[in-house]
Amino acid sequence: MSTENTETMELTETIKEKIDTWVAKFPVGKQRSAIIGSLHAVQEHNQGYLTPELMDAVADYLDLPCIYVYEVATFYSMFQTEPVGYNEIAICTNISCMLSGSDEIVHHVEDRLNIKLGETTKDGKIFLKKEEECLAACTGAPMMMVNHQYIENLNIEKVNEILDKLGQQK
Amino acid sequence: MSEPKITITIDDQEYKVNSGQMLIEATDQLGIHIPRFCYHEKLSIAANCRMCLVEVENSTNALPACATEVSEGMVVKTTSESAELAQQATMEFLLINHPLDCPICDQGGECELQDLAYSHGRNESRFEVKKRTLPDDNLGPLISTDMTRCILCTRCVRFGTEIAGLPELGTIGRGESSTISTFVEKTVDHELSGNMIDICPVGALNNKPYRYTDRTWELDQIESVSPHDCVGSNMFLHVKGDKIKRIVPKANPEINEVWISDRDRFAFDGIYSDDRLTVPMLRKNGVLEEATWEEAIDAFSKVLITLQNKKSKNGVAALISSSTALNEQYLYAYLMRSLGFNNIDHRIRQIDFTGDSLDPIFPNFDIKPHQIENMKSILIIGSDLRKETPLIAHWVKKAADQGASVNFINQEYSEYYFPIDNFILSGQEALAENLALVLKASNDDAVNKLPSHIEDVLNALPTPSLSHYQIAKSLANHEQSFLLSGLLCHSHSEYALIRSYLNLLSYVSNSSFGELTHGANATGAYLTGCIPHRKAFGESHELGLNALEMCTKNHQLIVLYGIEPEDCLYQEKLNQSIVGSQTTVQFSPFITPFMKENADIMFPLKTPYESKGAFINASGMIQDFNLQLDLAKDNPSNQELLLQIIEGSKLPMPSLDNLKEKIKKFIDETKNTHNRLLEIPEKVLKTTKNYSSVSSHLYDVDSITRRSRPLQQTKDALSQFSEDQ
Repeated sequence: MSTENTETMELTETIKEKIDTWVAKFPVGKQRSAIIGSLHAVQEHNQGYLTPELMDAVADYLDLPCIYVYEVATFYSMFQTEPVGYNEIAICTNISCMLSGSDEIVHHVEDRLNIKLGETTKDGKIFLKKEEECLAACTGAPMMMVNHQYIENLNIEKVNEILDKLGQQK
Repeated sequence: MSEPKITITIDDQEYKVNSGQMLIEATDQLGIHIPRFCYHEKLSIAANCRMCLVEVENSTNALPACATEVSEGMVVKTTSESAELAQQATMEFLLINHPLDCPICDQGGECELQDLAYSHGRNESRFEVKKRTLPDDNLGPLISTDMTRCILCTRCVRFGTEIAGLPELGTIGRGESSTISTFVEKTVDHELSGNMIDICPVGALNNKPYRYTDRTWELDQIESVSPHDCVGSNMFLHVKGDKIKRIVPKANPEINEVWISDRDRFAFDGIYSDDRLTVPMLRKNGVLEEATWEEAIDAFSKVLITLQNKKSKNGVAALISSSTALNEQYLYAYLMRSLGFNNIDHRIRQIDFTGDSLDPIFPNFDIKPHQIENMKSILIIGSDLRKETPLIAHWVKKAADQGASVNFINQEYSEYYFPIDNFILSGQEALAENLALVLKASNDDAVNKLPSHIEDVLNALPTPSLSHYQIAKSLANHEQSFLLSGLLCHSHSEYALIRSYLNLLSYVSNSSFGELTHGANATGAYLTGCIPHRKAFGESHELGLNALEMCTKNHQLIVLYGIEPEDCLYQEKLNQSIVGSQTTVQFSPFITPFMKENADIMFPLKTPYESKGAFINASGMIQDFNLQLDLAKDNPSNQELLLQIIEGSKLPMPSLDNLKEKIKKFIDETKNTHNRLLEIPEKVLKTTKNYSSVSSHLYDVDSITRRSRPLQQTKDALSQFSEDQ
């Protein structure tokens, strides 16, 4: 049913298995619900981002029109459709964090990494996510998420420490 | 409708309405207007534009009329202060990002957003933020995009999913950056996709060939009927001066709902092709030169009169297109028959004529197109349905979506966007046999048993497979069952045999039967006597040569009316016959290099887009086209031209009075009485099998479609071109 992309790439067996477990969680014929889970699995194995070919492969495997997968991939901020850095930093800029000084944190990170929000560092190590909605950690504001881990009660020193650590990674 | 009636109050007046429907459906039926963008009667409910908010008593908020079900005692106010406030607020939000480019927007003047901005918008905007802009997709040669104008009603997205069955557009991104897009570089290719232009309430999706050419309020609207297939889709020509600017659908719930195919919408461009013939041509001293109408008519009449008394079987061959209007077909047949010429035919895409004597009075659907939707079991034989008749495919899809069992026996696989129970893919040589196997399976436990000599024929066949049994069972178990034979059957070398099997299967399984035909008016061609074996109104007559026989011989005179050799399935043969014949006369809207070299007389024809007339569709429905058309042109109409030739040939003038009424009466009288022959004649069984590759091309059905620039740039046309290489 996928829209006639003549040659779709083949997903690996590991990914297929992961997708199968997602499909199994929903009633037969409702595999559209498994798109999010499937995309997570694919993105994880592709250095944190999705390509049209990979999305087509997911659509093909789930027997869905490709556009259904594109819609999901572009809607959720946890999916990247362009190549991004290996580590992902998402600084919350919603109301509580903003009142506790998230703007300052953003500026500091931007200056230190020499990139703007939504960009990746030249060495490809760190991706600064453009926008992050409230992550429901207002008690620990200001906060950010590094590789899906919450880091709360931020200050400049704490941020530097984290950036140092990420910078040392190979 | 059987739903119980309930009472609701709308704007202080009580109404009885059907329960179970949404408020907006009820108000639409009552003629009370509620503004809307995302709601469309043929699409699912999205309730995302919020324009149809109305006040409903006992509800603290205004409610969307499109997603609020009517209930007993409901009190609704559509124009109260709170309703209007809600609508105005919605409008204000929609206009935050919508550009103020109405003066250069093609939708201007027929824009739902523009209309409602007048009635519900503020004089000036309170927003000073920069308006959002979005990139445009290239959706192919038919639809232009200006996504910045999009208000995200998602009608086009729902159209793709629900009507076409092929989701090509989606909502990409979220929040302020949401946009309607294909996401990857991709054209929109479905054969009904042009309808997105009409359902888009703003100027985001527009007609690409028409873009920036005219303002809609300067156009006249003329009712017409599509000349490109046997469905007879109703449409409006939008005309300025004497030029057609664009075509839009005219709703007809029995034929085309509110849609038309892209072919119906964009083919007309072909009539403005550079090789249009506008003056008669006459060969003088070996050179084809321009001539006056009198000269050309005189020359043709002289040839006709000379040949009139020579009773040679190879004397005159008269071919006519099955897409010509009823009155032209009638006059053409009258002209040829009155002069004693019996070789007249329109079936230039048929190769098997052994079943001529078994032909029904006219090929016909037992049901109207919209009744296909109610069928519970459908068997389609030898058809590339979506390409042959996109609208019939649409009705079949509707039936399938409602749970009907749809089955195919076909010689090639094509993609369908609805559930199919069995698809028997058979080689061309096995198409008839596969059908016979379904018949055999049906006969096993049928109420209406077949005569024993036919059973003998079936018994000689192999055992039917599970699929054959499943199809047979499905047809037998459902009262509402339908057999549909496609255009590939028509061009099949065992056409007569296939049709005999279909007649028998229809009898055994008690199913309705329908036969798709080439062109827009094959039914008319049968009824007016444009066939070698019968005169008008089905009267039998001395047998003439059929189309294939005509094309394999040389003649003293060969006449092509509305036909180009390219239309013919055996083009090569026809070309040879034209070259070998003494005199060639072509009536055509166009002139090709081949005809320029070989024709002796050429008469310019007006296309169905430029003349008045009537077509009879596959269901026997007579429909007038262009009745209000009043394009002042110097050239005589096709009818006048034929009458002048008849006069020139010294024949009594035929009466065209009440022709349409007479034919309508005849159809009504014979429609239910012409019993289909339950017979497989010997000669049909023993046809020499001579298979040639036949496939249907969406945009190569007639001379006009072939010349339509937008259609020839579509993926469908381009892929055909690469196939032919």
